[in-house]
Amino acid sequence: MKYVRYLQVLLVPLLLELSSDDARADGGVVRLREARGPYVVTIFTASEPLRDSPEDVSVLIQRRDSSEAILDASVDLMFTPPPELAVEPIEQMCRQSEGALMSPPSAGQMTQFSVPATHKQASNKLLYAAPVRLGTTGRWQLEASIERGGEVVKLGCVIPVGSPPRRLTGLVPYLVLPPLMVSLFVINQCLRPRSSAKKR
Amino acid sequence: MSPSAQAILGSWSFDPKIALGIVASLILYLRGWCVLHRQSPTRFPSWRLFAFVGGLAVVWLAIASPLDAFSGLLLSAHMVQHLLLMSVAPPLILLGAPLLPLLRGLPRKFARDGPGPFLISPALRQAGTAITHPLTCWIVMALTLCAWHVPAAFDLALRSPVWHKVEHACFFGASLLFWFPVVRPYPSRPQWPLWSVPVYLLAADLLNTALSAILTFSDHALYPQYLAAPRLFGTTALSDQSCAGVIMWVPGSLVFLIPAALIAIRYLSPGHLLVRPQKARPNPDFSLPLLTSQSAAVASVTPFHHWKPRSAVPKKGFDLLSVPVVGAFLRAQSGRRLMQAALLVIAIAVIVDGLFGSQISSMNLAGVLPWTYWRAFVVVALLAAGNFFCMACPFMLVRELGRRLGLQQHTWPQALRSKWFGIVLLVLFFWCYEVFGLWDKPIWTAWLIINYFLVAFAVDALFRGASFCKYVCPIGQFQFITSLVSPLEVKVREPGVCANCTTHDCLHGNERKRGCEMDLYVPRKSGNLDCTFCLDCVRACPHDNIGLMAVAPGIDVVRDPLRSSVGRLSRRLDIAALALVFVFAAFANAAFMTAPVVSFQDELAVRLGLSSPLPVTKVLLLIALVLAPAALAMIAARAGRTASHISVATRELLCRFSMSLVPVGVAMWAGHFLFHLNFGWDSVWTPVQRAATDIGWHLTNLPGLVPLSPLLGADTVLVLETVLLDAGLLLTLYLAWRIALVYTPRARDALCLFAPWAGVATILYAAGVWIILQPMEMRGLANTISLL
Repeated sequence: MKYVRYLQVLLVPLLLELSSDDARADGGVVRLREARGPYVVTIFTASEPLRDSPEDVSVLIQRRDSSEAILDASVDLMFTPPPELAVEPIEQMCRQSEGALMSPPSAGQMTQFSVPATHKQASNKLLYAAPVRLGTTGRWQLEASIERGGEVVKLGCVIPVGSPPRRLTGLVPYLVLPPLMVSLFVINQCLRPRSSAKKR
Repeated sequence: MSPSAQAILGSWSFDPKIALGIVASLILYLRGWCVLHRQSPTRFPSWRLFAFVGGLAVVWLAIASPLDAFSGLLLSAHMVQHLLLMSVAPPLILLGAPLLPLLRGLPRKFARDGPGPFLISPALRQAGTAITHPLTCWIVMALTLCAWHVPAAFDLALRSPVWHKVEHACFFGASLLFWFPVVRPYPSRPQWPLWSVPVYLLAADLLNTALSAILTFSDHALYPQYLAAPRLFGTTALSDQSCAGVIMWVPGSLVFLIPAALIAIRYLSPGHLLVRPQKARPNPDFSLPLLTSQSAAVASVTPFHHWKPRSAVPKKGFDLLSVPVVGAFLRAQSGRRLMQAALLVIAIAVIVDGLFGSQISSMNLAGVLPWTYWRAFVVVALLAAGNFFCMACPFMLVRELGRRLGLQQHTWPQALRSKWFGIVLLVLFFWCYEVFGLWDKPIWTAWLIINYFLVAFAVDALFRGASFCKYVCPIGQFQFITSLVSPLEVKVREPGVCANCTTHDCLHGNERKRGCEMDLYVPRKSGNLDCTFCLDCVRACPHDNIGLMAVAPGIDVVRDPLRSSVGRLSRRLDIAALALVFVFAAFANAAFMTAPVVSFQDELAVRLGLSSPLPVTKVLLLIALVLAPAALAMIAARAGRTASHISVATRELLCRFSMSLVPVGVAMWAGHFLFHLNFGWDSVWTPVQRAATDIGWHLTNLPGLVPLSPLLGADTVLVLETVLLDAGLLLTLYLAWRIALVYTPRARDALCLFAPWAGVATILYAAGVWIILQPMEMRGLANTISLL
């Protein structure tokens, strides 16, 4: 039993880890698969990337001749926002009021930016992955730059980014919890007298 | 090993939700198995434990190993993953006979009152019998297997991580059902004879063979996702599909055929005692003869068997003072002094910086430490353990000083011996906080703390006992109410020892140690109300019979015993009023920093022709803190009394039910303070660096003026706040229901009594959800952000 108590301590970091909202599920839908130079490059994203959500973009580089995965390249991903980008007043998240600022604005990127994709950030270590947050809806341009042995290969594709559901929609599973628990409790209370009467 | 092989073997993933589920199941099972193994080692031998642990390990292997990482690229890897989830993990888990160990692993009272009534309900047992009938199990498994192998469904699972999890859950759940009639985990009873099990398995194998043959011999790739995926290891989409088919066919069939053969051999062996199925009626039962009186052997290991009061020796619960190092530290007077000294140093730093430092709140220790950190840490400590701020309170040190002057000749005036004075101060504090924007005025914060020290010193220098803590300190009143839902309580370890005690040192003290200054006699103390966790009683007790024991949070308010120094809660209108102010202030304090409420005040001020919204704020605050709680509580108490036709005074109902609202208030405070802590968790470095520079120290190693980054994402915090509100609402509803049952045993009347209070709690909950969805001011951090 002593060891069981020690094991219970494990629950604490796991509960804390639950709060992590990083995207780690690399793979997903193939956005681009193209043979370029000595490589065959495949770019994956989630099937429906959403604005301001953590999304994973991953890249698989294979030898053109043998399909063997290449693990020693350096991969950079450059994201360019849609040309029609206009910052939408999505929610009144940021507002000056008597010298005070409302809670921080959208954490997603709204301008062109570049991130390195690495094996460390990928679950499947054959892939190069990078977690990103895209700050606006529309068709983002992705350019993957692959450098290996002084040779650079660049490929591009489009990532359609959709609107996330309303904040309240994301809370629905948690808002359903109280009625669900109350219903179970009501059934529990209804069952209790019957069972005790039966016993008697 | 080649780099590719290393990369493949290193492709493990970690899903905290699954890990939490597995670890929680393992802990519950182990707790229960240890008890059952001691009671019945033949029924619960070690191999059952290994089987269960092995089953969980296989689940983990299937969803966290490289199999999962490659399941989107290779159908064969995906197939192995499914094989583990469907054919290896479920039978192993069922061999562990998990039902009883998992039930016994739950806290005894919870298992009896929570799942207990469901498990002994005839209707649900009948439903369980139907669900675990071999025919049902087989059909569910077959439908699941076929449905998910339809290309559209399989592709959906490949495209969407959520659907992939649903697919795995379906496979795992259906397989647990499928293997149930085969393994017949104890204490279930077979519904079909043993000879039917090989037939059952062979029929499943036929289906499996048909599906795997389609995969193996198909001349085109059935799943478009794999057709589009890059090819690895020199495979083609079709060869990968054929390989998956072979895996499903050969190892998949063996999983059915081997048990079928073993069971057939066992059935045909000469020594075999034919096991006849139990008749479904009159006692249909799928797994729980434990709850009937049919089998004494089974009953001897039931989780409910020993739940009657066993003996006069109570079961010792968790006691924080028994924990090595921590317990010794808390017990020692020097430990407490150390904590107080640390907080005193911080308080002095806050005062000095507040008085003489920059008056930009985010650049000043007085603007950041109390309002971003201290409040959040206090609430976290109260929710995670108990009233540790009062234990480490720095104001106690100046009180000690005042006491040593020897001027304590007066007793606290009888007229002020209630919570009313503290309530007035608390309301005043909340009111000033909003109206004067204390969070944005470091110098005011500094003066507030200075005055706190002065008042604490003056009161305890002149009056006997801990009059300041008990009757004056608004922070203390806040902590006392919050600590009603704390999981730890200063409590007697063995009541029998106190029954024989004649000296009552815990109350009166002795020549070496003083007793409780709050006049709490521990054997008759109930709950944390008025307890400062000073642990003087622990040090004074000559029998070492007082601990910091684990208790069920909040349950104490259901009872109404004659509490030492507090009396009965049903007679204490002041405590009820304190609870109501505490609860409504939680929502008002958070609401007044949301954009719509700020706009509403501005608009109202314009409509009324006022030059500033301040008068509107003042009036709205008074309504929110005093009038609204009083009116709503009165209406709820009267409505409940009228509807339930019980002959109890409205005042008593108000006193009792107001306490039940505390959890939802605590949830709102916790959500609110954690929100601030999350977004300002690294805001301390700026004022520290500034203050250090002011006194000539140049701290170059500190992060300094960097953009503030939240600890958790905004969505995660929103979920956390909602979960806190959920927990608060549910505990409030539970407590209100239990209190209602105290007044009337009839469910209908109890419901009438309960309903108005449930309505108030639900309104508060809805208000809380609305508040957390609104844009909020980042008080105290604004200037840092704008400076950056």
